[in-house]
Amino acid sequence: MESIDLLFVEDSVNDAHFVQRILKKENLTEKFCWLKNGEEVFNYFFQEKKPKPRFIMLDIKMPKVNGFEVLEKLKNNEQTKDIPIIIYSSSAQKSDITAAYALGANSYINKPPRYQDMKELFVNLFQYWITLNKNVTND
Amino acid sequence: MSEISRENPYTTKYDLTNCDKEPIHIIQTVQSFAAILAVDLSDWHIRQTSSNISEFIKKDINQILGKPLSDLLPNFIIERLKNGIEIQDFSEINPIVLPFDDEIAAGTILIAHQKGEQLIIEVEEVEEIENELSFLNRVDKAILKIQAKKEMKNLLRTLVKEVKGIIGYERVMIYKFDKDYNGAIIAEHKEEHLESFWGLNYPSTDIPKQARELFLTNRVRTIADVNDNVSMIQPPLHPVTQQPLNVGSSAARGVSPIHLEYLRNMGVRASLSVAIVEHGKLWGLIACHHYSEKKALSYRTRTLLKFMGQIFSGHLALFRANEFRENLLMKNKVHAQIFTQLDEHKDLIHGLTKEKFTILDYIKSTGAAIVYEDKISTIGITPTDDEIQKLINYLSEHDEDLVFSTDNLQSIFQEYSNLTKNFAGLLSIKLTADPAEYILWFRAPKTKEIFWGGNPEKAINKQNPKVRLSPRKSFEKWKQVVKGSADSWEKHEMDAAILLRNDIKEIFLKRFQELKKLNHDLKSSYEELESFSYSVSHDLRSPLRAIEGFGQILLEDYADKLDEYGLSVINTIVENINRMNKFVDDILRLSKLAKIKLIYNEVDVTNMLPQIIKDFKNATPDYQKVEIIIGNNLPIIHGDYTMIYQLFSNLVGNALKYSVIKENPKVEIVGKIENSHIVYYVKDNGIGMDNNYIHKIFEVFSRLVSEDEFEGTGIGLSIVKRIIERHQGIINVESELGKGTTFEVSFPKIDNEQFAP
Repeated sequence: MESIDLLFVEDSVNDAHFVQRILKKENLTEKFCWLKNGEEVFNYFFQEKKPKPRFIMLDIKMPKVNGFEVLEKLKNNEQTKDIPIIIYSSSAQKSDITAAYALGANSYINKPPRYQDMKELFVNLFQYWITLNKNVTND
Repeated sequence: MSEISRENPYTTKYDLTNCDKEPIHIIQTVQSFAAILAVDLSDWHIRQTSSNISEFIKKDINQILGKPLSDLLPNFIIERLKNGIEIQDFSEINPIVLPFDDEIAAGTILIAHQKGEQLIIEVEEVEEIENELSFLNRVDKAILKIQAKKEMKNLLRTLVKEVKGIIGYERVMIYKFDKDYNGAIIAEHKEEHLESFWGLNYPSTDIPKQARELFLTNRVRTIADVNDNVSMIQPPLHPVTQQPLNVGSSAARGVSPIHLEYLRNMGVRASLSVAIVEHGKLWGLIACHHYSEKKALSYRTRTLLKFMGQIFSGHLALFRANEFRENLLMKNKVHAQIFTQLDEHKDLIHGLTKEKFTILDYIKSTGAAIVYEDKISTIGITPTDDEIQKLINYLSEHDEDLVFSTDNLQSIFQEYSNLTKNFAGLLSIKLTADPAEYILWFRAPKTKEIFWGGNPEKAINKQNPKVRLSPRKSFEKWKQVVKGSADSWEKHEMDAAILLRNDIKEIFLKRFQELKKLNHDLKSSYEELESFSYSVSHDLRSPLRAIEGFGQILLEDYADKLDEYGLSVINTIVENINRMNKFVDDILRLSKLAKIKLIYNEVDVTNMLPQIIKDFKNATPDYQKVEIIIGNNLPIIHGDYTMIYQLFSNLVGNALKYSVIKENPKVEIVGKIENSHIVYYVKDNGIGMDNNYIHKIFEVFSRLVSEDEFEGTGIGLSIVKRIIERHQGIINVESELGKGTTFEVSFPKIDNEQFAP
C-alpha cells in the first residue's frame, strides 16, 4: 500500500480549496488526501485501512467529531499513534493549544489570514515534515 | 455619733452623714401651733402631753396627765375616736371640731392617728378662711391650670406660681432629687426682692435620710416659726414603757436643731414642704419659705396641699409615661429613618452622619465616632483620634460583648485624664472584631459646674470633731467644678444601640450578597462577552480568509486578463479584507482587557521598546527612516506585562505611522519618576491633531483621519485608555496640528511590599 504525504482534515471547502491549490501550484505533492470530518478519518484508518500519511494536518472546529477527539483517538491507537499530527486551526486560544499538546499533538499552527502567508507556510511545512522529518516505517 | 469619734478626724471625709442617725421621729419638742395628747389605748388614759396643752384646753397639766380622756372630751367625740381605731382609718374622722366652752376656744380641732398602742391627738386652732368656697375654687382652678401644661418646664412653673398664690409664702420652689438624693431647685416663684435660688444644688445631707423617709408617710411638713417657743413632751418617756413618744406622724412635731440652724442661716422664718412621690420614691418637694414673719397653715390647707402634691405626683407619672412613649415613637421614627439612610447610601459613614438624622439624634449624646474601614469618622464633640484609638484598643482587648457602656470613664481609664476630663459617658457597639470596627457614643460629664448653695466643705466643724456636726454656715453661691459622671445610659438606649448594630449587619450582609451576585454576574458577563467576541471574531475569520484567498487567486491567475481598473478593484477587495482582519484582532484584544485579574510584574520597558520598534520596522520597511530616541533610566512599571506591551505597541505604532511622512521623522520615548507616579512620554513630530477634536481620540472606532490617508481601526487608543484605567493610571495628550503629538501616560508607583503574596 502506497503511503501518502499529507492527510488534511478540514471542514471548510474554501480552506481545503486553498490547500489543494497551494500543494499543486507550489509543487509540494500530489499524494494527499482531504477528509471533511472526524468520522471520515476513523473510516479511513479503521474501516478502509487506507495508507498512512507522512503527517496529518487537523483542524479543531469540525462538525460531529471535532479535532480533539480525532487527535485523542489517533494518538491512543497502536497503529496511528506514531503519525505526526499538526493542529491547524484559526484558534489562538491558550486553552486550545494546551489541550492539543496534552493530547499528544506534535505541533500547533495558526491558519494565516492571508493567502500569501498560507503559501509560505505550506512550503515551510513540507520542507520540514516531508524533507527533514523521519517517520516510522514498516521495513 | 460615737462612730464618728472613733475615726481619725484628720483623714475622714465629713459630709454630715451623722445627721442620718438623728432620731427625729422621737424628738421631744412640739411646735407651738398645736398641742399633743398621747392616749394609751389600753385604758384610754392620757399618759403624755405637750407642755402647751393648757393653751388649747384650759386645764392645768396635772388635771390632764394620767386622767381618762373622757375627762377632757365629750363622749360623742370619744366614740368617734374609738370608731377610728376600730376601722383603723381616721381619714373621714379628722378633723374633729370640738364644741367650744369655757375651756375650749371656738374653732379648736382635733387630729387623731394611731401610733402603736397609743392614740396621738393633735389639738389645733382653725385658721379663719374668708370664703372657703372661693378658696376651694381657687385651688380647683389652679389644678386645672397646672394640668393643662404640656411641657414639664411650664408645668412646674405654673405649679409654683399657683401654690404661692394660694398659700402666700414668699418663696415657693420645686426641689428635685437626683439618684443620689442630691437636690436641685428647678422651679421657683418668689417675691421680687429676694435673691433667686433657681439652679442651685444641695448635697444629699441637707435633707437627711430619715427625713426623706418620713416624707413618704407624711407628705406635708410645716415649720411654723424657727424662733418658736417650743414646748416639751411631758413626761418625755412613757411612765410604763419608758419609751419616748413617736411623733413621727404629728404635724406639730418639733424641728431638729440642725435643721433649725440650717433654716436660720438661710434667713427663713417659716417653711412648708410637700412631698412629690413617684413610684413610691421621693421625687422631690414643693419647698416653701417665708421670711418676714412666722407662718402656719391650717389643717385644712395642709390637707389641700397634700392633695395637690398627690395630684401632681400622679400627673408627673402620667407625664413621664407620655414622655417615654413619645421618646419611643421618636426613637422608632429616627431608627426607621436611619435604616433607610443606611440602605440608600453606599457609604456607612454618610448614611449615619451626613443625612437628615444622625446617630446623635438616634441616641442622645454629645458626640459619636465610627471606626470603620481603617478610618475614624466623628460627629459632634468627641475625643481626639488618638484617644479614640486607645479606647478601641481597650475594648478590643477587654470586652467580648457586643455592647459596652459606662457613665464614668474615669473609673476605667484612670490614666487618660485628658480624655476623662471632658468625656464621662461611653456607649459602644462592636460591628466587627477583626478588623476592629465600632460605633461609639460619648457624653460629657453631667455637672461640669455645680452651683452649690453654700460650700459643702465648710459644713464641717473642724475645731472639735467630737462635737455634733453643724450645718453649713454660709450660703453664698459657690462654684464647684465637678468631674462627675455623665447621664447614665438607659436600657432603651442600649437596646437602640444593639438594634442599630443588627441593622448595620443586616445591611452589610445584604450589600455583600448583592456585591457577590454583581461580581458573579459581572464575571459571567465578561466571560460571555469574551467568548462572544471570541466566537464572533473566530467565525468572521473564516469567510475573511476565503475572500482574501480567492481575491489573491484572481490576481495570480487572471492578472494578465484584467485591465488596470479590474486589477485595482481586486486589490481594493484584498486590502479591505486585511482591514477587517485587523478590526477583528483589535476587537478581540479590547474585549480581553475586561478580564478581572491583572498579573502584576515589574515590567522592564528598556527591553520592551527595542523589540516593539524592531517588529514595526520589519513589518513596514518605510519606518526604517524614522529616528528613534529612547531615553535613559527608563523606570520600571508595575503592571501587567502583556497589557503594557500592547500599550507601547499602540502608542509607538501611532507615532511611527503619523510621522513617517514628514521630512525628518522622529519618535522619542522617555520616562521618569515624578512624585509617586511613573510617567512616560511618547513624542512624535508627525501630523499632529486638531485640538477641537482631540477629545474624541479615545473613543472606540473614532478617528481624526480617513482610511485613505492612514490605515487604522480606531480602536488602538481605546485599548490604550482601557489599559491605563485598569492600572489606575492617567493618560494625557498634547498636540499641535502639523507639528506633532505627545502622549503622556502615568502609572501609580507601587511599593514592593504590595507584591508580597
